[in-house]
Amino acid sequence: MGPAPDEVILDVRDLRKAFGGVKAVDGASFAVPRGKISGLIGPNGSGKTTTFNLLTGVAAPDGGQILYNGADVAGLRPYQTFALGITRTFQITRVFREMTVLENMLSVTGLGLPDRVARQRAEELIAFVNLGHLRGEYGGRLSYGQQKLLEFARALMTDPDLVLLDEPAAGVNRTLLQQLLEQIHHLQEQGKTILIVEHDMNVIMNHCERIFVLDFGVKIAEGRPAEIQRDERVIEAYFGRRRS
Amino acid sequence: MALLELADVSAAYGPIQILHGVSLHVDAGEVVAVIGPNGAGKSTTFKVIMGFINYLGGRMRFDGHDLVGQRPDRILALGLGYVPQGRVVFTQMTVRENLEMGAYLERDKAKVQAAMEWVFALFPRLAERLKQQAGTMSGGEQQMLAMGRALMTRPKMLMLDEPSLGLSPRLVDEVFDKTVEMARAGLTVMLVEQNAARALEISDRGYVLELGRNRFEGRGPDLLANPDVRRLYLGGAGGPVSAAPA
Repeated sequence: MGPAPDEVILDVRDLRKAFGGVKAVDGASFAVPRGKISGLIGPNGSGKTTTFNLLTGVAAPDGGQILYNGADVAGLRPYQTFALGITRTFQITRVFREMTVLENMLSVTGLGLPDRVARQRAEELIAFVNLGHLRGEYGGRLSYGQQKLLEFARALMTDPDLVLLDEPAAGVNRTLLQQLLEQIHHLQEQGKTILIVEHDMNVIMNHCERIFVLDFGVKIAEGRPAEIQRDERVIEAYFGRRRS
Repeated sequence: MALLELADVSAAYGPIQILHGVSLHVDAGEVVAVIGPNGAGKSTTFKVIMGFINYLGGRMRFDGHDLVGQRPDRILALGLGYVPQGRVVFTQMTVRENLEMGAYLERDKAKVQAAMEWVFALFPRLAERLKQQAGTMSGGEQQMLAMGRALMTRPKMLMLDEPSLGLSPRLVDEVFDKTVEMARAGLTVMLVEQNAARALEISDRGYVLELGRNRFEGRGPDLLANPDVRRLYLGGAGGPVSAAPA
């Protein structure tokens, strides 16, 4: 008997999205295992961020299914996917610059929590990302890496089940990155599912259990890091091919 | 003597430092490729050379001139041409107008005309399309126009940022063929490419950057054959390893 197959939290089937004549996502299918850290990678323009936008309702797909806990969430609005337990961060941070760290955390609405409880959660999460000493500082005065930590903490205010991270390592110094990665592992230990889009291959290969590779909007490979690193199609997608 | 030389150059976009001490040189007549995985700092290297972004430190010289602190138009006038990423042409202008814009530093009309003849010799198709509005051209034609426009200053050296990006395979071939042709015509060329295999194939030498630092350099065929270079793109080449899982 082999190990039990992974339970799937997010089952993406034949997902499609075109912008004008450009097929950004062109029939991508992949199944994200529950409770694990997975990576979604691919060369520039392979459809990673568009996929994230489709998964979170930022854009509506032209076709395909997004089964989240078995129910199709394709075409829902962002606040609806958010309410279902899907949250995300952005490639370029989107913190409120004129709000303090704590105010940024409390800007998350629709939690259905008493203020006191929301505030307590905000304080806990600020401490979790080691920004406690900056809780009264304006978002715009944080370093870029600190803004990423704040956005990450804010994304956790809803106590989501599925956390989508869009390039968490970009522009973050090594010390803060190390911190962020430890926190991602803590989340996983708490039973959360994490899906990371990231160009820093050291982050992907050292921290993801399962990796999905997109190229031209389709999945071209899937597997464990060591398998992906040896996959000729993946190497070719990244490195190009000599003229035959 | 090197035509272009960078020593220990650092640069940032706003607060985010991208280059952490990049060094490279290009000799007259060479074709040099700059490759590396996403976020390596390839395009940033071009932008700091052209004076577009925040220079933090290091030495940059071109043809005996110090580039540090120079305005982009001054750098252009020194004979350094630049074709930005993404086929940036003036879409509302005709082919001729685009080419004329490329020569905006030149006041002598006869010299502009001579430059245009030289560009037509390299890109005959542009001569046939002089009155066409650039926005109505195909992606490949726009890339040729962008290259032709950069040649209007009669540069000594041309820097091409991702010339094959977003082009169909046939047009990719054409762009690389044109690059080889320009080199044969005496131009020094430095190109940044995500299609590393193709870029190295036509280059005398290449530099491999990773996360804003030099990782490998050497002759094109040697880099192409080096498995560590290929592996760099997917991690695991003994690069700076970030936090291992707890």
